[in-house]
Amino acid sequence: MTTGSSFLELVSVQKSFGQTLVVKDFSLTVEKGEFISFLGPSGCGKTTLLRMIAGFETTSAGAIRMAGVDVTGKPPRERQIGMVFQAYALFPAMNVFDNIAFGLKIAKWNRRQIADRVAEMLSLTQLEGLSHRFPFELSGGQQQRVALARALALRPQILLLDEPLSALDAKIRVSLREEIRQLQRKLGLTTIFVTHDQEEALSMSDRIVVLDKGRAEQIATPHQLYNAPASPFIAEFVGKLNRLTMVRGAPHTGELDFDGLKVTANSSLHGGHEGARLIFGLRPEAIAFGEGPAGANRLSAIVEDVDFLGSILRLKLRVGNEILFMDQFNNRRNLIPERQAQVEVYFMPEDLMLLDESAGTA
Amino acid sequence: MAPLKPQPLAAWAIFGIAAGFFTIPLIATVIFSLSMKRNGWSFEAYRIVLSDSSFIAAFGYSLAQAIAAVLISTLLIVPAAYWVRLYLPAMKQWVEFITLLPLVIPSIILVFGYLRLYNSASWLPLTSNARSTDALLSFGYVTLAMPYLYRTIDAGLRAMDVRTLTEAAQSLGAGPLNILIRVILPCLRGSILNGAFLTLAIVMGEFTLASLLDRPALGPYLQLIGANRAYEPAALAVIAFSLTWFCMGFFQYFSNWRRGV
Amino acid sequence: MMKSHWHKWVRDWSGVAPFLVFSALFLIFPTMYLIVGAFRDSHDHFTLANFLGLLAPEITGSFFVSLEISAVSAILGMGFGFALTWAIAFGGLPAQLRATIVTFCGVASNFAGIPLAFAFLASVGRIGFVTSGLRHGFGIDIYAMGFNLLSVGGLIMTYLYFQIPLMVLIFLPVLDGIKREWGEAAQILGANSWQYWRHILFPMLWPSVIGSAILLFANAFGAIATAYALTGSSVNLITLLLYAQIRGDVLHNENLGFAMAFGMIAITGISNFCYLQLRSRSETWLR
Repeated sequence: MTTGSSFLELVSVQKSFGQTLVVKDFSLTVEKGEFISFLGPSGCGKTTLLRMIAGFETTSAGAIRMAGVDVTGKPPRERQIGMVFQAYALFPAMNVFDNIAFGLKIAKWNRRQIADRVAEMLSLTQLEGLSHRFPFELSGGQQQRVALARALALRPQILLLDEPLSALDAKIRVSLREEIRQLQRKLGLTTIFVTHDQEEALSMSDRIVVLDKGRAEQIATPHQLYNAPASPFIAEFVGKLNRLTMVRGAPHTGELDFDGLKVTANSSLHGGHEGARLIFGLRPEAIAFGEGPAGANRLSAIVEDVDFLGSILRLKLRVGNEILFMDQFNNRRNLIPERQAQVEVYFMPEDLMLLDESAGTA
Repeated sequence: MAPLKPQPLAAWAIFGIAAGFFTIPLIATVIFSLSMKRNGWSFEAYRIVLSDSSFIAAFGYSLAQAIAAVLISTLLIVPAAYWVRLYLPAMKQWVEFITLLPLVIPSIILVFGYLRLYNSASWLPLTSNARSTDALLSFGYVTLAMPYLYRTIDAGLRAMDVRTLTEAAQSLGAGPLNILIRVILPCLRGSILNGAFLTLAIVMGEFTLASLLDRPALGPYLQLIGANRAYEPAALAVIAFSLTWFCMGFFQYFSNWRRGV
Repeated sequence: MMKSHWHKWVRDWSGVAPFLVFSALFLIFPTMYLIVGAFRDSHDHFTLANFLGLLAPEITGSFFVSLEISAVSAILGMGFGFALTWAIAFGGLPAQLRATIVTFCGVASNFAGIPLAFAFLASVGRIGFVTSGLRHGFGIDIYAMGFNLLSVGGLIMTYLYFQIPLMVLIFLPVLDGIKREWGEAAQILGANSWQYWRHILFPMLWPSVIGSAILLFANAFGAIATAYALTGSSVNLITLLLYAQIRGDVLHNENLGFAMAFGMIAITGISNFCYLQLRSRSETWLR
């Protein structure tokens, strides 16, 4: 990022409701202009965390700093944040113009300034011509744009997005998420985005915070998160994953036994006890047809099922007693394998991700 | 201060004032009704009321009127609500409008119209003898109950996807009447009972229609007692309030029941 | 072809016809009869004289008393009912209490008529429990202080017993429809409590509040039994005057009664029309 000065800091933040701890010792440093996603299943604490940043929830412990200023005890309206809610939360008795102008009116801007800023916001969110419509006359996507314009009108320091896309249709969701990202880049706006949709998080974020049971499991770029998950939870939560149980062969060789087949893993996995049971993850797209380059692990498989997903072909393969999923890009020149056909596939040793070392011995 | 932050102190204060306003008359009435004898509390007022044969007669008469009103309204409104949903959707807003009219037209206007339109010299002399006046009173109560009964029944129909049910029954060879009686009506039990108890609550103490049609119902009886006695009216008010509470209890029980089905 | 068309017509109307015939006979025709009668003289000729007759001080007086009692009880019912509804919806009262209040409102809004009059007579009537309790226990004689249950004020107080619960029942769903996010969005945009009420809740709620008040007004305007049992005819309501007219033609002009009925229908009709307009307005916003 540009300056390297941290813009939003959460220091050992905790939140408990009665006896239950919903956010545990959470620390995060966000750079100016960064787009951060909080990703996790429902009940993981991501929304609570966002609401703490907004000031709707008090912090049970820890501190929140914005641009170097401690805002921990401050009410929401003194934090200079913009927020977009899942259910739009537009004021129903106000038209688009008045919704966007609301914060400006409260801040006692004059008429002229308000009109200019609202016009700017309308063009920024491509809502020109809709300023006299009421919320009930707008589609979901339009309503969410208005909510975005309303949140941005006061030029907030930080934009908070609480699952803003989850109430929308699939098509609109994708186009609006691209738009939000473009807008965020253009304005250089520090943004926190809460979602349970991993695809959204992967496609939009500079960094992703994966939360589980109130703890940050991993804070990483989408690329790192997907390719080097820090825990089995993340490996399985983000993207599709094959789980392979293997037994370690003789030490130093790096050889593993996969249901009777010899498999080689990355050299970093050499060593350990012989006969130890290990669980590995393997992405479906890491498997390919053919023999592959030297050093590749080669498998003979039976095609159990073929799932055509448009751009992707997902094959269910049987290797001995194990089932593997394999993803291949759809290409009209390729033949789709028949069911029950025997196929040769391979994957590279470095694509095996160790998930669990403590699964006992064989 | 956050918008809409709960203000328990103000809320409890408002609740306290309301509780006072609403319970003091009730408590006072109960105590008053128990103080007929000079030397301490007694159920004397209740004993007199409940052993008064004209009270029993009036109560029975109003109960019979209420039951008749429920039966007639069910027979009229269930088919109408079902038909406009299924066969005559264009008529729906008109039927809804008609069922709202009794809320607009005060009951005294309604009975005024009855007396003029159905007097003994008219084309349909319903007020010429006691039996037919009883019927006219029932029809009046059907009219008064119509807004409430139509709304509960229509809500019941909306909840159960009438069209699909009807088409399913038709595909099995049932005719409209059969479908109405065997399929729709059983599903509406909750709604109908719900409306029935509301109707009961409306009819039992009704005064204007019964009085002007000169029928021996509970309302005119109450009025007569009120004009001539001191303690018995309080006992009657307690009985009436318990009866209303009982009806509304069942009303709410059946509204929940309907949602549960 | 003709036959099947005929069959369809019969099928389509058969279920609705009894209802329509009944409504015509016992709702529409009787009302129309009065409305038409209001424009006729005793020889069945068209006239507007009946409406001039309404200007007699006896009749205008009772119209005004009715309007006064209905309007004041509606406004007070709206005010207190709003406060109580707010306390239930946002005051932070225990959930169990909310359920009890809602049930009680269902009962109290139906506990009108003569028994309600009895309850108030037994409480704050001349020999009522509260009246005599205050007099003997504290030496306070509320009747000597000017209170009188059998007056316009007493009647308004009694009407509040069903007006307030009715307001709660109509208005609670409206307040329940207020989303928490509106408050949060307003807060984030810098609004304080007062500004939130002033700029967001008030513009959204006023049609419902006014609409409910109009409904309470119409509700009180057509009422008769409570007033009759409470005051006999010492408070001169239009409904009581019409009641006497129906029983004994006290105005000595049948068609004048019709004109009074017409006037009442006009008032309740306009009220209900306004209520429906305002309700559909707020429902549009919240769709």
